[in-house]
Amino acid sequence: MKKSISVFGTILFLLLIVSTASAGKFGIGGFAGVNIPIAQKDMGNGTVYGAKGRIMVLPFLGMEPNFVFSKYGDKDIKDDEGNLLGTRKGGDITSFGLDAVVGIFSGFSKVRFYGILGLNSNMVKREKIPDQTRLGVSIGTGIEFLPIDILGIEVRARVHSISLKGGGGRDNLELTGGLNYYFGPK
Amino acid sequence: MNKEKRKYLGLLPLLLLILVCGCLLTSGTVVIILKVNNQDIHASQHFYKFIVNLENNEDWRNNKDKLNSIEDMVFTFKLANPGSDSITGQVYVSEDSTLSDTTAVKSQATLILDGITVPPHDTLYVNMEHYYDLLHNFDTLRDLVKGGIFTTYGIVPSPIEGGLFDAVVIVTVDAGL
Repeated sequence: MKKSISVFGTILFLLLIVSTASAGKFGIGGFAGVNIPIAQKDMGNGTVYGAKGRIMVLPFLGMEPNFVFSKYGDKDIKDDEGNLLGTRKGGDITSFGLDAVVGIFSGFSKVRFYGILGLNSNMVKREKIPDQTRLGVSIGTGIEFLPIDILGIEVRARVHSISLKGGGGRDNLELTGGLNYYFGPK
Repeated sequence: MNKEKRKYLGLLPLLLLILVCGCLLTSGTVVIILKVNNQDIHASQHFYKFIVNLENNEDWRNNKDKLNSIEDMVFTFKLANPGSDSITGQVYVSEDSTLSDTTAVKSQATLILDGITVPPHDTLYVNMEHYYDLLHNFDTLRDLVKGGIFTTYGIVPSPIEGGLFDAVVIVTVDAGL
């Protein structure tokens, strides 16, 4: 596990260096929002927050190494008469990965639409279930407003899907807002 | 690219998201709640016993063929102690519904709850939170639940009719959509 994290981190770091040198434009950002379990009836809505970089590889393509913490809300379990039988804790996910963002990132627009497609490694934790580190995919869309060239205000919707050992998985809709700060030439 | 075309290009990610949501979501969790009728809980001189038959539940029947895994399995119940001394108890589960005494249960069934203690002249409600504190052999229990039918044995020093009541079985399954 530690080895794979190191390899992944090294690849991200090299990608950052190479892309920054060649494209000359990169940014860092933070975001937070709500984590909605899409098809898990034993979990409630929770929170999601994280940090990311954005490296422009091509005018229409950026790469985003990211680190994301998501939490599920607890869920009250009730019988048909509405009697409370107990509360199931939601659990949480710690994720790091790389998203590709595809859209129009050239300088002429103050509003950018883009699509997101990514791969991530996820540590899934929940009461009474062994911790699992599993691969996930993310896909979504976002919109970014740039009141000034170096600052972006971003809103995005991302579906984060993780398969679990023994079958099944976690499918979450992450609705987040965030800020990006850009470095490098215009 | 003219302005009109760019406007529509911006909608592509949204369309992609909608498309992929439909493709990625292949499974979900379902919570199945099965109440055990008090008249189905039998007290012998050795133990309480009841059969859990998930086939009696519509949600189970609808999802058993698409089952990926058992996420969770919980018993909640009430246990009365009319005596003047505290009692302690255990709960075992087995595919075998014919075990006839405490020795057979302890040797052939799987212990899942231990450390149940009821004060004298009191009734203990084991809810979900309390259940997790008492739980043992969770993986074995989850494997047993996949079969849909199993027998629960509750061992206390002197079982009495009606002493164990309001039992509810809560099973969370991950199944294909």
